[in-house]
Amino acid sequence: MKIGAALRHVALIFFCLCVALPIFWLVRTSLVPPEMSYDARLWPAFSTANYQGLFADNGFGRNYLNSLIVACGSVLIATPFAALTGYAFARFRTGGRAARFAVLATQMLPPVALALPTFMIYRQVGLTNSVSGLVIAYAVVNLPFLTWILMGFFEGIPSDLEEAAITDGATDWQAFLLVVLPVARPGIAAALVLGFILAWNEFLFALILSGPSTATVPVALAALQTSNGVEIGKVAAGVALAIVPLMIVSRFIQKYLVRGLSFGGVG
Amino acid sequence: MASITLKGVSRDYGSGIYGVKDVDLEIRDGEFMCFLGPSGCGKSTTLRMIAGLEDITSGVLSIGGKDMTHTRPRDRNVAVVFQSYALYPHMSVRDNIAFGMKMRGVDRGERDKRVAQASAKLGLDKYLDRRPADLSGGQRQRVALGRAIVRDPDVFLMDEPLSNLDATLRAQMRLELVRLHRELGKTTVFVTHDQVEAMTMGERICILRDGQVMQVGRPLDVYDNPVNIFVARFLSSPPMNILPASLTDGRIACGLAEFALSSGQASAYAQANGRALKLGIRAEDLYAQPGPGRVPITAELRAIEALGAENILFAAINGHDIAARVDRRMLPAVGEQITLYLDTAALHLFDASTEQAFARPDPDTVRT
Repeated sequence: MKIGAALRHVALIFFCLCVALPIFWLVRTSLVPPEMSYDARLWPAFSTANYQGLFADNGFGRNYLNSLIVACGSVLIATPFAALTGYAFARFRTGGRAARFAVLATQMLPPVALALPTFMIYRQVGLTNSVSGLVIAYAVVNLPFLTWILMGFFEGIPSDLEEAAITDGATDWQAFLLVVLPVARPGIAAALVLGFILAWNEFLFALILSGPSTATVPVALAALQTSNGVEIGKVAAGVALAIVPLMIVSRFIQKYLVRGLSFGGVG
Repeated sequence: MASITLKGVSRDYGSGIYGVKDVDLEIRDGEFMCFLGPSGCGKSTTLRMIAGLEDITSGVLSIGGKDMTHTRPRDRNVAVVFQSYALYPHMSVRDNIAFGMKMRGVDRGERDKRVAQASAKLGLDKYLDRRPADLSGGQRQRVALGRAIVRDPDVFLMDEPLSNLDATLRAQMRLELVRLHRELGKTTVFVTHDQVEAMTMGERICILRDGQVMQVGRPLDVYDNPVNIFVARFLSSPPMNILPASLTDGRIACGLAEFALSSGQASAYAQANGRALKLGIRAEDLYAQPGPGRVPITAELRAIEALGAENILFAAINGHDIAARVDRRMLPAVGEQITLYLDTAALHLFDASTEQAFARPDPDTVRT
C-alpha cells in the first residue's frame, strides 16, 4: 500500500513538473537580461529589461488593452444572446434537431473559412482595423459555442421551477429573468469565462482584421518574430503577461464549472 | 365558487398517442379530490392540464364556471405544489413564499403579513431567512405548501407532494394536509399513486388507467363497489384475489371452493348465471376463524409477512395464489397446510372477458 502511494506521488510529481516547468522557464526567460535568454543556467541574472522594452519599444500596453476590450466586450455581447438562444433550444425545442446541429456545425468549419469572408464584408463596411470590428467578430464566432454550453446548463434546470413561477403569476419573461437566470448563474459565469478565454487567445481573426493600432496580444507576440530573429526575451515577457488574466479567470471557471455541474439537485 | 369541470378533455401527443383521453369529470367546489392510478395513467397530465401547464388538445375545462381551456396558467388563480417542491433555490424561504404575491403586485406590508401568517400556520417562522438547500425534506414540503396557501388561490393542485418524504413524515403530512383543507375549504386536486393516501385523504377519488377515468366516487364506495378488476386490485394491498369461477343455479364454483349463494346474492347476480366469471375476494375477507356464511378452504402457506398488527399470508391452492390478511395470532409455519374461511357475502363477481363487475347485492339482502 505504501509503495503504491509513493509511486502515485512520484507519477503525480512528474506530471506536475511536465506542466509547471515550461511556465517556470518562460517566467525565468522573461526576467533575465535579453542576451542571456538562451543561457542554460537556472537564473544567471535578474532584469526587467524585456518587460520595459516590450512596453516602451513595442507598445504592448496598447495591445494588452485591445485584448482586454475585445475579450470582455465580445463576451458581454455574446452571452446574453447565447443565454436566450440556449434557453429556447433547451425548453422549447426551437428548430428541432436541425437547428441544434446547425449550431454545432458552425464549430466544425475551419476558422479561416469564416475569417476571409468576414474580412471582405468588413472591408466593405469599413470595420477592418477597428477594435469594435473585432468585438463584433468574436461575439458572432463565439455565440454558437456559448449557446451550446448554456443550453446544457438550462437543460439541467428542472422545468418545475419555471412552471412554479408561471403558476405563481409570473410571465414567461419574468420566470426566465427572476428564476431561471439566477439558478443558471454558475452556467452563465462558466460561459463568460470560456468566452473570455476563447477571445483572449484568438489569433487568426485578429491577424486578418486588425491593424497596427488595433492588434491584440497574440498578434503582437507573433510580430516579435522579426527579420533579426525571434526576440525570445520579449516573447517570454509578453506570454507571461498574457497568462495572467487566464490564471485569474481559470480560478472562477474551476469554481463555477464544478458548481454548475453539480447543480442538478435543485430543490 | 371554484368547481372544476372537464368535458371530453384529451391530450393528444400525435400519432394516436394520448396522455389523457375523453375525460369527463366534475370536481365540486371545496372538494378534496384524489387522482389515483399507476405511473403513466394520465393523472399528472390531467392535473397539469387543469393548471394550464399542458395543452388541452380537445374538450373544455372550466374553473368556477368560466371556460379556462386555453387560459394562461397565471390567469387561472390556481396554486400548484410539485412533487419536487420546485422551490426557487436562490431565494430565501420568505422570498419563496412571497414570490407569487410579488408577481401579482401585492404591496410589501401585506406580503409580510401574509408570509407571517402562513409560516406560523406551517411552523416555518424560524426558517424564513434560510435557503431551501438548508432545509429538511419535510420543511421544504411546508415551504411549497406555504407558497401555495399564501396566494389565496381558488384551487390547489398537488402533484404527488408526499412521495419524497419518509413513511413517518408522510403519515404526519397526510393529516396536516387534511387539516389545512378543512381550514381553508378550497377545492383541492391531489395526485397520488398511493392508495392509502387516496383512501385517507380524498373526499372522492378518481381512478385513472391509460389516460381514461375508470371510476369516481367516495373512497369506501369505490372500495366496496369497484367497477372492474383493475380498480378492485389497485385499491387494496395486497391486491384483491382474482380467481376464475362459474355460477350455475345459485352455486359458485371457483378454484378454492364450491358454495351456494344467498338468495339475495343469487337474484342480484342472476345475469351472471352460466357465464365465464372471475371471482374477487379481498385479503381481509379470508378469515382465520369460522363464522356465519364462511366457507373453509385449505391451502399451503408459501410466505408470510408479519406486519405487527396483522399478518399477510400468501398461500397456494389448486394452482391459484391467494393472499389473506389475518389476525397477528395466526402465525403458521411456511409449507404448512392452513385452513382459511372465505366470507361468501363479501365476494365480487366480474365478467371474465370484459373484466367489468356485476352490481353487488344490497348489503341488507346479501346474507338473506
